[in-house]
Amino acid sequence: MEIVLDHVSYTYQAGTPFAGDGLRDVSVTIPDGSYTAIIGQTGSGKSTLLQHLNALLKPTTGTVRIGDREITPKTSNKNLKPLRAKVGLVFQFAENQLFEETVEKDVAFGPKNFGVPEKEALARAHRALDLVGIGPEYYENSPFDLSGGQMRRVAIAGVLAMTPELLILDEPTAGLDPKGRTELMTLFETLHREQGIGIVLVTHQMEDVANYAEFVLVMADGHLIKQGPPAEIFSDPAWLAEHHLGLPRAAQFARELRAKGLPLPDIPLTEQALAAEVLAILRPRREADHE
Amino acid sequence: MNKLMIGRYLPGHSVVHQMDPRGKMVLTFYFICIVFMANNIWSYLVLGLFTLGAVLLTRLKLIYFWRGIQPAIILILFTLLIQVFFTRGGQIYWQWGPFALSSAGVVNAWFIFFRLVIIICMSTLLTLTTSPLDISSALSSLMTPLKWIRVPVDIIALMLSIALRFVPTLMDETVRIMNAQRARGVDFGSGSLLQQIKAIVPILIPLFVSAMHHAEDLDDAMTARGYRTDAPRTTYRIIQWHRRDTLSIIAFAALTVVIFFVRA
Amino acid sequence: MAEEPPIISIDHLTVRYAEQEQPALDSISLTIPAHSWTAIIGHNGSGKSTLIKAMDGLVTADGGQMTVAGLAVTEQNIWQIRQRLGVVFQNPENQFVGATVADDVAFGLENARVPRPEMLTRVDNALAQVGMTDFADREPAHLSGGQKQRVAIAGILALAPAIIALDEATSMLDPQGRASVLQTMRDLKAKENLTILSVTHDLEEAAAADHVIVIDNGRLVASGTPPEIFAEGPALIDMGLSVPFTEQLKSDLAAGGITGLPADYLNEEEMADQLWKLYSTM
Repeated sequence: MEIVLDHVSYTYQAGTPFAGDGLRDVSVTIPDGSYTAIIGQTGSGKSTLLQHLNALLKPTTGTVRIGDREITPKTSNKNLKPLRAKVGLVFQFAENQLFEETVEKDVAFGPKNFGVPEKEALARAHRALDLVGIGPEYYENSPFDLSGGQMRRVAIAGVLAMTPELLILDEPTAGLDPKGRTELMTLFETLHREQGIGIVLVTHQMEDVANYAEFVLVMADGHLIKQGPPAEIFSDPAWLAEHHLGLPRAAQFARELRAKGLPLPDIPLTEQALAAEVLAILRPRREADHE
Repeated sequence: MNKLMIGRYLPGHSVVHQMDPRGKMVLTFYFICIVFMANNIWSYLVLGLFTLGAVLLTRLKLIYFWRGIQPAIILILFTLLIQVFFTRGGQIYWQWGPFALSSAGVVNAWFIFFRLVIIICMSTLLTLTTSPLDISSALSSLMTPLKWIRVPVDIIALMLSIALRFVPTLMDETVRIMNAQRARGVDFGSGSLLQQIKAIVPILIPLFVSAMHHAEDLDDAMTARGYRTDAPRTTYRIIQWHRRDTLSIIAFAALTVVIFFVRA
Repeated sequence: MAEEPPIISIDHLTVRYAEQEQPALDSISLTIPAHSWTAIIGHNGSGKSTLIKAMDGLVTADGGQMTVAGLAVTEQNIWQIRQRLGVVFQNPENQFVGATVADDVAFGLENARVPRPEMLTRVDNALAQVGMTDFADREPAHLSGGQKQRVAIAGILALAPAIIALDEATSMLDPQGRASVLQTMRDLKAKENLTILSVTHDLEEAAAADHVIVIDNGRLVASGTPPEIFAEGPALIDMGLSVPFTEQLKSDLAAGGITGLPADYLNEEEMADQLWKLYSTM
């Protein structure tokens, strides 16, 4: 499902002295089935942008097209619900949304709201829990008895159980330890590759952008200031620094190596790519030595 | 309801913002009492001008102020409509069963209308120019005499201050949780009453859980920073009385005198 | 240089939570040298935060002894210890007690019954040290997470402690907030001669520490300098942690046949030097 934002602006509490700009004239297309990362400083409008993607917010001016639904400032709040099953939104610290008595009931909550019969909703819940690695032994547990990392995964399962076509993730790994982080990022990558689910990821981790994203949007002060594939976004460190954004560690290190005089052909974004480039430079010489 | 401004605070640097919050609170309360002394058009006019003067002193934009009290005015007008038809006296213009439109009813309704509008303006003024923090410090300062009857004023004051400090946090959280549940297909504000009540549960439980987490963490943090209820503490924040506060008392005294002379 | 006695010594500390079978901390013994920066690493739920709470008397030990800043951790001493050991907790929101920045910094001073005139100067100084002077009258709702954490540090600093413990204090912050908090702590450590304990799973932060302690399932599994700890490599991953960037690169290069790199842990600069050496000498 494609999402198109056309000159979208959003003002918080318009018409009061408390008004503030969330988005300013943002136009962008998020292609069907893509993996898009959104980066930018805290307060740059990333979260406001996300909430337009499943019509939790309606633009103050401009239009948002989600699949074949057009959302304008005048769109009525009714009948937006079907959209939300198609575009699943996982909020930051998603474990805060858990409320049911048992894990399986909580995960089935979403599908049931969309009219899925109880039995089918539970079956979907079990499939979603299986995806996030929560076994049947936890189905009857209270979600509040789980560890923080498990709660996060149950909350994510709660969104996956709605079988969305597009999954929006707002810093899904914040506060997790490295293992938990890797597991979740791998899960999203698998969903994207094997089931063709589109992903929109908001993150501060440039490594995640480099490792997974096909396309990057850079937000600053409510504006969309740059968009393009990761290699392009990360090609200008001075520009990134100006906007308080960093390089992936591998790219940073590669630049240091280049400065020392190692002739790296281009700037790799991931550790694997960096290793491959360094090998490519060092190995031929070494083989030549051996002859 | 979002536009209603009573209860909200708008930071600023006007004379009214800088007044002693204790003075402001006591005077606002006093003003409300004076309003009930007014009983003719002149006394209401004086009160109205006084209120307008106070609003101007805050240097807030009048249009915002007007928009902010508008919802309240609509509510008052509606109540008055009912009131008008049940008050009799003077000339009767129109009658139908228990309903009547009389001159006394109309005059009475106008007075009540003015009274309520003036009171709402003044109260909005108080909250718009006084931070919740100042209100809580003022309250605890005004409560000090209660120490004599062994009311734990300091603990109550700290509780109040922490409660106020967490209002924005919990508001943000409520919005976030509501959005998260809307994203899972919950419809707020539609469906039958039962459905609406059911829709509140997925908000209340997470909010409650999160409030408990806040409380537990806060308990640790406060203990780690040496807070104990069984030991005396010193105070950092004190409220200072300035000349402008004395002047404001004089202004209200003058108002009382004027009202006393112009009322019927 | 005269050997200073360790500022913290822990001897067979065991902590059990009522609802759990396994102890949260299982007979932990360690010492922390004064004026050092020690990183305590371990996966979520490994017990590393419990260790800090035990030192500060926020959880009670079920066995073992602890001495913090020259005082045995006992009920009598605990309020004194809390003035010498300040803790910055994980969630910036949940430790901001005051209604404004200045009020919050003053909170600990009020508890310590510092007279008001002295409080005013101490609050100002503490705010200046963390670069938050301009925010003195701000309310917490108008601060970023990183700023709130710096205020928390100022609140501790105002009490002139010997030790500051960071209990995952940067884990909920964005990269900028994290960098600002760590920079503040590094500056302060140098200036105030503090001892820093930092509970973290940011390995790059740990790599910059003087000492690293690894806790796994309530047990102390390793303790040493960053090079000693990070030479463990894959064992760290098994404990739910990750491997520092340079170690990962080293093992990938080794898999590709480049074996000339030293086995010891290298930081990024050393790694770059080594790679250049390999390149230029071959």
